[in-house]
Amino acid sequence: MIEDADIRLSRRRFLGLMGATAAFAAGCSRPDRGAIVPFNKRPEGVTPGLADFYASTFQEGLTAYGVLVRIREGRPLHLQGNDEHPGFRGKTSPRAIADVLRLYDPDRLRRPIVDGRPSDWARAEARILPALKAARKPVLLLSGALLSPTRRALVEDLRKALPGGLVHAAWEPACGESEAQASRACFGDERRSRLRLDRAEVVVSLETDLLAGERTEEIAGFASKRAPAGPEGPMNRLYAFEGAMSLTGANSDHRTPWKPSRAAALAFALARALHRKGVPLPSGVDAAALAPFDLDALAREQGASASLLHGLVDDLKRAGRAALVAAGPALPPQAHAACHLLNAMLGAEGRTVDAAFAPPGEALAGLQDLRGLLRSAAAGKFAAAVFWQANFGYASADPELWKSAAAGLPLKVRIGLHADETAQACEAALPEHHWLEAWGDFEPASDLLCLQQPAVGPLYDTRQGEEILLGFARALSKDAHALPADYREYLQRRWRREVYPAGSLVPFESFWQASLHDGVLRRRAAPRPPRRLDGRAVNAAAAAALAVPPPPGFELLLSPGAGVYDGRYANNGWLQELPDPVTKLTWGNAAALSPSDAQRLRLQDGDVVRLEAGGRSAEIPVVVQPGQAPGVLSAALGYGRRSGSVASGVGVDLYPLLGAASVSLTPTGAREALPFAQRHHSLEGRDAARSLSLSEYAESRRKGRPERPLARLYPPQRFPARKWAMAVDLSACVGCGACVVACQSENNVPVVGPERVLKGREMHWMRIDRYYAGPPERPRVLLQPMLCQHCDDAPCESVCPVNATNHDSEGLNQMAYNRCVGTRYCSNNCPYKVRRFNFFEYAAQTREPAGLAFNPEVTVRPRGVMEKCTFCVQRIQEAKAAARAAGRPLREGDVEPACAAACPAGAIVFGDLRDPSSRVSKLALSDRGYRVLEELGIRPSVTYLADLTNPAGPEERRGA
Amino acid sequence: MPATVSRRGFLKALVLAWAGAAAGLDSLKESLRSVLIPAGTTLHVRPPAHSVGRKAR
Repeated sequence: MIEDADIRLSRRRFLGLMGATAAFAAGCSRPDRGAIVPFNKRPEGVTPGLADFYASTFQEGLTAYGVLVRIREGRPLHLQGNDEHPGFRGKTSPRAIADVLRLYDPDRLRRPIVDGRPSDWARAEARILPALKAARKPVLLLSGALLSPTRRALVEDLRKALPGGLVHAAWEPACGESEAQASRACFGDERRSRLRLDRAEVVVSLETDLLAGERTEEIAGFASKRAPAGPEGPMNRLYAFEGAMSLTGANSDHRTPWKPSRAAALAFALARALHRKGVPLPSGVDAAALAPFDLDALAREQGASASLLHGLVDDLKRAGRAALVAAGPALPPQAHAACHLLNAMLGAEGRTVDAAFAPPGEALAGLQDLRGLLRSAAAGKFAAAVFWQANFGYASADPELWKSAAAGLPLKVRIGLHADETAQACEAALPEHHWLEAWGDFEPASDLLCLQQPAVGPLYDTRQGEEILLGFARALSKDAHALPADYREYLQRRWRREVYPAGSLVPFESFWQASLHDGVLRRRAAPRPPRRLDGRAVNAAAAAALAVPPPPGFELLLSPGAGVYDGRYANNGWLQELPDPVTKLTWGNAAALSPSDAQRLRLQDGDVVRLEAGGRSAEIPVVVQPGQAPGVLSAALGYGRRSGSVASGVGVDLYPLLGAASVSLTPTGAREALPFAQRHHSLEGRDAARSLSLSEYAESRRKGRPERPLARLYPPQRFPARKWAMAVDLSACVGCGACVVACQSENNVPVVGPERVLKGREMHWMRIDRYYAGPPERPRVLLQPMLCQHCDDAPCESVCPVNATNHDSEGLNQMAYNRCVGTRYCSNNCPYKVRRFNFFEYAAQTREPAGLAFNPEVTVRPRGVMEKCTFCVQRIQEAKAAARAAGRPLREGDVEPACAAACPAGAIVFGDLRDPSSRVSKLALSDRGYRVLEELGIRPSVTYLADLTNPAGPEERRGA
Repeated sequence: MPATVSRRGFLKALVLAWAGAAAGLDSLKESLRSVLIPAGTTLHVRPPAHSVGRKAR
């Protein structure tokens, strides 16, 4: 106890102590996280708490996705497809959804860097412009695909302004070049046709992933033919011939492991067999050129069923115009030419292969073209180089050539989002806007234009890439005033000149505003007549296909990573943690081997091997992939980046092997732990994921749905107003992962990193389970989205000691995070394993400004609590409020959880089970419907509709 | 001349000075934020000029 006695203290000492106390207190004060900032000057049109939507366009490679950007208080939070876009109809790709995180990437360049030092725009211009003005040699501009008429016009303006001229090449490492080469040879142009899977009854896929996540339009078209009302169909039939297991193979009715080097031979053999069955060859195609391709011999060689191949020929003939044959970018041009021949023979050209409104093709540089340009750069033939978009320093496939090119260029300028591998080699790195901050237009079809508009003001001292080039053109042009300083103005001027209909009664300003509002503009354009196939090109392709020697060693198939694509998204944690749809591997790549090859080489998952081709090598762990063709090795590109705090060092860079047809494989004896999101691959004879062939479906319908009387431990619950429920059609679902990313974005689901995925601590509220059945050489694949089933008699609720998880009056199984003490009993008692425990305060580890991507409507969960799917309760509440404000009851379609809104296949349906007219009520009663682990008597609210397959004849697959 | 301070008074002053300094510095930092934080940081999230949005649906 302190006595109140006087103490003697000098004034100086007292003040000294006070000063020290104040300094100590200041040091101890809670560090300011800058989380709350008053929005004290409300911009016009912004209502705090209400979301706005901006229509814009996201470009990836040669595809422009129409998107709607959801904005709250000025922050873009969530992306979904633009419902006005005629092709995508409100859906978009998982990578497009996830790209909102790249806007808030803490690693983004925030100001220009000149000669390795942070700088500003004035100094950057002072460094670059005199060199460009003095250039007597051409300047090299290497970019990604332009895809935009205004960008093309800008490049032309820049070309005119540069005194030494401009050499421009567009390169997309993930797009391949064989398709364009074949199109040029067979049709004389590079127009890319739309694959109309919505019109196709028989689809043949040769090493092409038609159902990969980014193929939104194809997935929607395919799914529209996969969920018939009854066993009588109609339903399409998909044949896949592929070396690596893809989502297309996983969803096919017949999948045959097939070496990619023999895909062209297969297509020509199919053409020959069709011809022999009376289908005429297009004029100019020589029957003798096809004579060496024999279907039976190929079947023997590849260990495939000859009867299946002959059945396919009959199927193709029967389908005629409704058939579609497509080859993948990894295949050589002759395989594409053979597909053009088949489509032309069947009459599919102009029907399922639709080039009627294809815009003028964009000539992309191939790997050889790029190497040629880099060699010229090394030889000092360019005055300077500007690298825009694609990351050439990382993906140029030839590190030594890149270095010598960099040494041969007097000035190198990088325009990009990050200080990436390319920027590190450049004298000036100019930060550009993220596309959500930028203007632009795209021409995906001759009758359609898409506009890109900023959804947020620039976060940093950046400029739009186009604006930087426009600045160069203005500074160098003799007639500088002819060019506006602002790219929006440039875009608007071009639209006024070339897009705005002459003589329109609507003023241009209204036309522009309406186009921005919709994000798309449909134009009148005359359809082009069907393309005429050049028979000579096909004859030459057949001869080339015959001359291909079997490659030594393993055939190599490199494809863009499902999440990271060509590496540009490698710094996006959402996409790194999105499991590969087939291998379920997160955070890295692995070389997939067939089970027989793995057994022969005594390799198992995680064993590291050295791959060598053409004097280059890479060391990579292997994954034993059921269904992989023997002798084929496949892996994803886009990993092994050398810059970026998230991307750096994750996975293995395989770009040095790009272009190699085959590799040699040597085990190194090392092992690496692979962070798989799923470790068990068999259903062990249970029927959690069901699949029926059409005939089995007919049989099950005849027998009727078995009644299973279920005992229940609790009195039935009452849902007086409504009962929320979901239906998932496994036949429509292709497993693309759009729902997983949309859920992550909507619900602030944290990224945990590879170490914690290895411990099984990933946090996804929604996952897609992938099961194999049958022999590992030719497995059947079953895909099943899995999320909280919101059981009526939920086993998690009855074991929670603190009642943190309980049921609401509308059937939602809800979590009170504040009440949860983290016993994890609920997770232990959940038969679906969909509850996720927050082991660390992941949200607190978010580096600013990534926290701006958090949805303010969803609680950011602290450490030590259990979390799980809420059926997007925030969207339910928002819809209720909107309905109340409008004075009407809640209607069907008012509430759409993020997963359902994102699903390109329309496989997820959400609604009120108490409303007998709702879609979900009808689907719950479907004769394909079942509930997973229904026998436990827990009454889940999610109905799954059994997967359907449409196998042909004797090869019929058995349902699980 | 040395000042005479009671022990209770001293402790009171100590606690008050601590609390005051903590609160004062925090609010001082808050009010200086707009000056101290360089332009272009994320606090300046703002709607874009010239874009056209749609109302919440």
